Amino acid sequence: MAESRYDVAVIGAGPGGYAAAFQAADLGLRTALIDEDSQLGGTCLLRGCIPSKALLHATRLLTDADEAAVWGIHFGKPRVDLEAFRDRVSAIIGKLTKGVRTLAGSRKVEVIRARARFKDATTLQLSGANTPSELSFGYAIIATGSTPVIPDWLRLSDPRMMDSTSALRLPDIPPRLLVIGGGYIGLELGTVYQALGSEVTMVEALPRLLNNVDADLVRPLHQRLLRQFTAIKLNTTVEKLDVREEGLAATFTDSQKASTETFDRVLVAVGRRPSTSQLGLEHTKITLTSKGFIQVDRQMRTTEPNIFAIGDVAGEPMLAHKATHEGFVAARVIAGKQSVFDARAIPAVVFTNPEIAWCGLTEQAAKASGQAVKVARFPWAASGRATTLGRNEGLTKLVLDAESGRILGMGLCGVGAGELIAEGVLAVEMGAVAEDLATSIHPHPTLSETIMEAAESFYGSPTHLFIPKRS
Amino acid sequence: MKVELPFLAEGIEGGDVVQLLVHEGDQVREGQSLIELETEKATVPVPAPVEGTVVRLLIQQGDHVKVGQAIIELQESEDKAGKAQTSAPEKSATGGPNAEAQRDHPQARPTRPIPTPESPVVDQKPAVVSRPPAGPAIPAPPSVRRLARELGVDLSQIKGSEAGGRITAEDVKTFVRERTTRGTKLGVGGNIVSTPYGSERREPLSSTRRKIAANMIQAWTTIPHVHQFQDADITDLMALHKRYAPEFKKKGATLTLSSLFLKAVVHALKLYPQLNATLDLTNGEVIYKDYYNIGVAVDTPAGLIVPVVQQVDQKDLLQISLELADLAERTRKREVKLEELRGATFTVSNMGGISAGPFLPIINPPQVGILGVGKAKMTPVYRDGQFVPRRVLQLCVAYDHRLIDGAIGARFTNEIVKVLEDFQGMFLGL
Repeated sequence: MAESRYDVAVIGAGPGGYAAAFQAADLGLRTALIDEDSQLGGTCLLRGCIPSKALLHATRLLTDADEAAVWGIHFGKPRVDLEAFRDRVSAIIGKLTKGVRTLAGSRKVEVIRARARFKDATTLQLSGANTPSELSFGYAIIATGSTPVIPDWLRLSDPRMMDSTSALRLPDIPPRLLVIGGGYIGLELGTVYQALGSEVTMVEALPRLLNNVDADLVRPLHQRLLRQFTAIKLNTTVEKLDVREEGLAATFTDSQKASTETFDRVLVAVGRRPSTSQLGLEHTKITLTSKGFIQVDRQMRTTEPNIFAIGDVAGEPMLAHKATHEGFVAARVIAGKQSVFDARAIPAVVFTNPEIAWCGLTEQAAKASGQAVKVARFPWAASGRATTLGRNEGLTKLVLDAESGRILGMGLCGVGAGELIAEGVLAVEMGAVAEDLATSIHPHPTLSETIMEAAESFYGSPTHLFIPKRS
Repeated sequence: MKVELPFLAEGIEGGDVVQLLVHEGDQVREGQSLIELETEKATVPVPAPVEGTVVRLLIQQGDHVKVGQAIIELQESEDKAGKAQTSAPEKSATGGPNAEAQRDHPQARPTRPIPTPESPVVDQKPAVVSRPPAGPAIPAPPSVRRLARELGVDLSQIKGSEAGGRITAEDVKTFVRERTTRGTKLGVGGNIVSTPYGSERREPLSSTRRKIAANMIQAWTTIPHVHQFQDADITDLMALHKRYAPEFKKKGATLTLSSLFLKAVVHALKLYPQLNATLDLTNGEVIYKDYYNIGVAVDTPAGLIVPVVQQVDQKDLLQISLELADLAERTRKREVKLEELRGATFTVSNMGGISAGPFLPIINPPQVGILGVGKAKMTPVYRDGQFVPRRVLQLCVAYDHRLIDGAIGARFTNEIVKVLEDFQGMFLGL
């Protein structure tokens, strides 16, 4: 390939990168989308959101069948054909990645399979599948995402060690699985393996699971997991891992004592780090933050004015939908439009069972900043729909401006929370007040009514819950 | 040089800046579009008169710009070279594809190992778009936030009109309008505007005037008016007036022609109740009124105000004269009460006092008729085989043709004339 020139070069074809490339092309810019993977879609599509949700859906079938016994419905012991299972997940990924490629083609976005590295602020060196070449650009968008972090002392070259990527490939169903890290990745994958039959032990160094998430929302999940996981060890670290014939021996340390247990596989899910190395950033004026993210402003512009960065590489939260919207902003700014990333509510969902979802201001953040808020709660114990589902453990929570009743944040724990949170995002972004939610008719009987009733409780007693007036 | 908004087309005196197409520091070619202006006729681009560099933008998106107003400060190309050497900040073209021209001239930078081409800087100030400030977010939906960005509006300066202080698109537009107005007032000469034809002065409409305007439009556009002219020989009436005016004076009243008109009108209304009525199209009904409240148009410094003399049929001329004088006086002083302006069933407008007329009065809905009276003139009248000088009044009755047919309107008018010409006849029941 000879030297070619593009208005915009997008590095990384994840949900941020391809969205940015499509938007740039739609705005009339000649756009290249560069990724070293043969398939488009990045972490989200290939080794993140999509495969994990496929696994969670399938294993939910197992859990539901198991729980059907309370209705008097009894299934036999399920048989899992792992190969067919894996094929199905691959087929889902294949279908979606093909869709992205078709969309790129119809928008005349040039897809280049290569590893890209900045030679200077207007030139990329490409290496990989094609012969090495150079590409010059007017603007670049870095969307290289993030990769799983493995701490040094857990870095063993043993095939029984897994990170999220290899765990999603479902190599086998280990009888005993150790999950290191009680964040959303560890919880989701732990849920999958537990449902498939593994005995799951979870270790978290901090005092609780999902440490940054509202404790009220985590509680129902934690209680359910206590029944499903073999052990949840909080305030506990893995001192060392020994490779042995019969398994991987983990030495745990908590405040009192040290103990050792043996596992058939170990999943390390302690976090992700932005992918900034090997990009040749030293040949540009791009600077990194103390946490290793690329420094950007609200227009997603780096300290090299014609280079933008979006998604995981540009800062937290590392979420696909945040990346997509940042991609839109970068492309629009490049096309000369007035655009900034000013989302008031970025929803986050933990796809466990029950799910946890939240957006906007949390109760803790409000307390920390001293902002005067009111918190409205509606326990799903009072929800008819939750009762029919046999899932009364859920909770809906609203964080409201104490004076005006404006919705500042929403949190949910319960089945389907990930779908329900969208209403909260809309409410926060539109500046809705409690009355708006309370007087909008929600369908009965659904879980969405819990949002309406939580809003009602800002004024007084919701229909299905009596709150005695405080004197 | 300062680029002024040029003459764009006949009849276009200015417009609103829809979009700024260049940034400060941009290089522009002669003829390149600088801004996009929305005029009454169309959205038009405003071209650069010469090649050069944009030094300063003197306008913002959303501003109203007039022909001749400076919009952009431009450094012409000739002295650009000299300036570039003295001023270090690297600012160059934006607009992506346009930027490439510069990159063809790489410029070695001693501080860097690799010679880097001049980068296409859009805006070097990193502080301009920083991370959002901490603290409560301003309640405005995303679409409104985008509008504010495009119009260069700081949302924190706007007070939202909706629940919870939510800012609407309308709030943003109002803010911009007010900002534009404020700008005009702060400008040279206050609200005096110079146009190619001379200077003009702009003043806000008073609320009274706004109300009058709205009422007039409603009356004139919804009511099909018929204007019925008639002359009334008031020579005898004036003699009567002359005879009794001193008597009234003794009782502290002024016998005016207006009070006599009121009496005549009520007499005619009783005979033709269609004119003392209201048309209720919604219910398909006519509302006939058994009370006779007559509005009297009063010219005040604040504009036309119509106080109402209530129950004219139940009052004698003395009472009417006293009331009318008092009402008119208080109306001019703006001391009249709101309820004294309501409930009229018919209106009389007399321009005789200012020596004017005849004229076509406009009905004041929901009434269906109005009497307009002009100035009486001495006129030669052919009577009993000779011309005699008579005092003749030209009057005009307007009536709502939806309810009142021409014959009724004409007879009603004739009845008023009859009374004015033979006032005693009315008392005799003739």
